Amino acid sequence: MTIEEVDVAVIGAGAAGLSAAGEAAKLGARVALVDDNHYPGGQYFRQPSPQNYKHQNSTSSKDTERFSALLADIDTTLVDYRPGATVWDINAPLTLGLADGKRSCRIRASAIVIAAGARDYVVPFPGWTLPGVITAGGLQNLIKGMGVVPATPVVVAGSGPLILVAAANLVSAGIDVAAVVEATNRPWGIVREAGKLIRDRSNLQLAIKYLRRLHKANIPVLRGYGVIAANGSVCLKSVDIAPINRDGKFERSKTRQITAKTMVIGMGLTPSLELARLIGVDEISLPLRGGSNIVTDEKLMTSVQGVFAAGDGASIGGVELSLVEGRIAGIHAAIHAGMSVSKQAESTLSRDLSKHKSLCKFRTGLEQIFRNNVDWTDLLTPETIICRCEDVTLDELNQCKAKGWTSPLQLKAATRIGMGRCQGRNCLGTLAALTANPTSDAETYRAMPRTRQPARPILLSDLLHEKLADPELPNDPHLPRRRD
Amino acid sequence: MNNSSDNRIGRSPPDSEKSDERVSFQFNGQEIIGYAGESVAAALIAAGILTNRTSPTGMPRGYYCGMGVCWECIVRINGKHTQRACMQLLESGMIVETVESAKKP
Repeated sequence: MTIEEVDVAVIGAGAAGLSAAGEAAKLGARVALVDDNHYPGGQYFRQPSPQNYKHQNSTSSKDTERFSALLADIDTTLVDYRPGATVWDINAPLTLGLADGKRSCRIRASAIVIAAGARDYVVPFPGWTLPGVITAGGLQNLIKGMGVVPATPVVVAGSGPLILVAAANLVSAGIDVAAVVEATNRPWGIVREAGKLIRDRSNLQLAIKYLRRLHKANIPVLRGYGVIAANGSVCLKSVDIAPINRDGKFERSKTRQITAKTMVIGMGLTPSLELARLIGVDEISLPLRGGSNIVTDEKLMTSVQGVFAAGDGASIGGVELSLVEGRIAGIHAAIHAGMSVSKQAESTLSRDLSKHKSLCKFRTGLEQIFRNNVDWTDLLTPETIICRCEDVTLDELNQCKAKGWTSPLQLKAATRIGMGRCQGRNCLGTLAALTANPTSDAETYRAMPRTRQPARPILLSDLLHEKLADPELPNDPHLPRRRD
Repeated sequence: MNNSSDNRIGRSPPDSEKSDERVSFQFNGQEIIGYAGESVAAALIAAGILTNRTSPTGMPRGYYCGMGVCWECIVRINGKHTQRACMQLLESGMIVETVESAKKP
């Protein structure tokens, strides 16, 4: 096995990863840009599949321009763009393992930029596993990437700016939206105060544009409500919604039922931290930002030397922040790898650092507007599935707790919670909430199951081909040892 | 709901004569028309198919996260198990089948 050597390895070809790779290459660094998707763009810049798409998509001309510029920057022999490759391992000394369904290989880098992006933060509720219940990210991909709209009528529910975007996109596509259900109902005074933090008026104008679009289409927007159940046997038929009282509990006596074939649920985003965890970076718990986030310094380097993190995969902040952070991390990663800084990079850095500050204020403003005290575990009934992969219900967890198996690891061993194909991505947040240490978030997370290789399911044959290519594979703890 | 013209945006439905990118594939033995290069998940949803697999207790499951994270939409493609329908691109003649999870003890 030959280990490929590069200056900078960038994980993820979304907004942050593309800009990181582009900036690093501008400084002369040899870059490997590795992405799980078949096309560049990540979630925000997701493009219609290129072979055949002619539909008018919702991408604005500004975004089309920005995306073309990002692609132009990586269109150099210095950048080795590798789509369709899953990074399944990352370990010292800064070596990635990646598999593409045919083989696995290793890339060693002098610096790594983790720009792995975010995913929907999910909370379980009765019926959330029914076909027809999809995440806000799933909806966006369907509409933006595939030009396919889900079955109607649609209820859009959850909390945060993304459900507004999802609903507005549905309306633009001419889809029957039965209701938008937003959990937060902040008094106007607080919204106004938070709004003052938002200097960037273009973002605010965008939000107003979305709200107008919903208003014009007569879509009811229910604030201070939440979905308490999705009903149906083989697929979604209706959803039950209830108002949320001051204590953050659902008032079930005031339940209303809405007919829906699709429910889009958006609870905000959470960073995809698994790879950062494998190499052991420091994390910080930020409940308003999807839970655990990566700690970085002003160069966006993590607590592990040479490992940088940028964009939503580090800390949730949206596309504008991702672009800025990608550039900052890309430049510093290249410098870390031994490139010398250019005049151009210096001016990019100083411009981006001030942009970064103002965008962080914007983020704080948004977080204040959508801050709430909703107790999402109040939605759980004994029959509610917590772990979708292994069909583990709350009742099963409670039975284990009654036997004295109370820690996350004991519950995992007893029920297989978190051991399915999603590797806990859908359930470990809930398990953390159900086993939370009341006084210490750090203790709660310390008790959670570790992330292990492979960071995503890969084919054993990929590993076998790696092994066959070099029977004398160096000391690799993740492959079986020869017993001779 | 099997009328593809209802759930595709701004593009002629696959059965229209204007389209030249349509391909045919099979889902559980049923012939379905989709577009080459779209995800298998999108083609199934466009055809009104929402259930891709059954869970360990026999519950129906389908497209959920849409970005390769949740593994709820997995199907068997050309005999190969555990393929995420949202991450696999549709090709002509694909044989797609529902996957039944191993039963929970």
